[in-house]
Amino acid sequence: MPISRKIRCFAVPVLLVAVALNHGWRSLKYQQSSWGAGCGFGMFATVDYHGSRFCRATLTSGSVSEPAGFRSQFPNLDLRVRVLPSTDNLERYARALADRSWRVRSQPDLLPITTQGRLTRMETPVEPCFELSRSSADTLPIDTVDLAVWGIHFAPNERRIRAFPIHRVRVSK
Amino acid sequence: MTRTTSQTTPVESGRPNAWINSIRNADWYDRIAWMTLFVVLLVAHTVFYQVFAGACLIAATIWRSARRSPWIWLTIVAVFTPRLLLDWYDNEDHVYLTIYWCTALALGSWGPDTRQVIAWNARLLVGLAFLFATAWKLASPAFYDGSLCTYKLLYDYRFRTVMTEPLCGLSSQDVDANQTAMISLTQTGSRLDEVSLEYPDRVIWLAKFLAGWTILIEGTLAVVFLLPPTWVRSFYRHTMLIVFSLTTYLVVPVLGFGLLFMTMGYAQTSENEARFRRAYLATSWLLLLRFGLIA
Repeated sequence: MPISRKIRCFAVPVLLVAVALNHGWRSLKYQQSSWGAGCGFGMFATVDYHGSRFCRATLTSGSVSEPAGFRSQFPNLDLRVRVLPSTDNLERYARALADRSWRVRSQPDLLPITTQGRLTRMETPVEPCFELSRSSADTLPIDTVDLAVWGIHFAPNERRIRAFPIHRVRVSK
Repeated sequence: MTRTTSQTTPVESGRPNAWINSIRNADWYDRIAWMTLFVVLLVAHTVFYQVFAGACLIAATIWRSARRSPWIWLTIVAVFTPRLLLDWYDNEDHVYLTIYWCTALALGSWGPDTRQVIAWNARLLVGLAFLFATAWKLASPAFYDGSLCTYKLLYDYRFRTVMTEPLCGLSSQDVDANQTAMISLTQTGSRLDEVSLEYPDRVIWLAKFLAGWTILIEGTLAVVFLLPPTWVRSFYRHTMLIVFSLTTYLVVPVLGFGLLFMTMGYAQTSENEARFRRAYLATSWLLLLRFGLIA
């Protein structure tokens, strides 16, 4: 079956333009990451992208309300939220957090120390937070999960990085 | 459907001499097919896709008819497209561009004027990729004020080890302090909203230079590849693309992107541009060597 020369010459470039424009529009409207994840060719263009975004959650159990430490346990949900911080994605992630067993960390949290850019040791106690629990003995029932995806703003001349919330949700159990 | 045929070297299984001849007599299209299939293998990140891409590469090496058929490209597109649609958030730009290129090869092989159609698609795909890349950077204040480049010079080990530490004198104490500051800010459970960093002013100057250079070379690439070919000599397109790849991918070895651009550049060479074909192949080997050194 012959295919017209116009289709053979223009179908793929038109497809590239359509997908890239769609990515640009989604980045403007939904704050989708500009970098990768959708082929808009926005790599190395913004400081705020899914590689620099991060999530923070605050869990509430009765009168106890503390931040939660969790990132590595939910890699796929974490990546989706950082790429596309929509309400749906955040709520899905928050529900996954609410469904797990949590306890208030018995040991104080530790500050990571790096050498030559690599994590070498942990020291300097900071503040308490919730952590995932494997046993049911000391878990606390979670009432609400406040989950937010944060971005960073970098001011090179001030030598400061500021974090700002991009989108947040609250899920009650 | 028309299969592409140029040099008539009959190849059948069980005839090693004929097979060796087909490799020895490989032409422009054969080399593009191999280079593209190698890139497909590079962008295959799971075992299933790696086995599939490897099988395609082996089949295309054994059977000349396989590498010259549109069906091999259509099969690759059909196998990779569900991944791009379903796992879109987990795929980088060069994976999409690779599959666009495979589609272009399928369409190019599917009819007459194969060389012209493939070269046309290659020129537009390269030009459009750089057009969008430049538009993003011009639309992003964080890029043109140097923030992004400063951030990358401090936190991307590829930039830091090759440029920031030797050229700007970033000390290992500063590196450690900046890493600790970033982890303190971004770790879950953190209550911080702001951290301070340590680095010499030279990092900011280098970042501003890199931002300006990137916009200049990417914008120029978009212009020379998208203007009608009669307006710009192919010499400038080939030279700019090779200079960009050498100055970019030797520092940041994104091998998939680098080799794909070299393949698409190679595909645009005319019969009498043997020098540029050799330059594209040499640059590809350099990128492979650099990637090997990094790995």
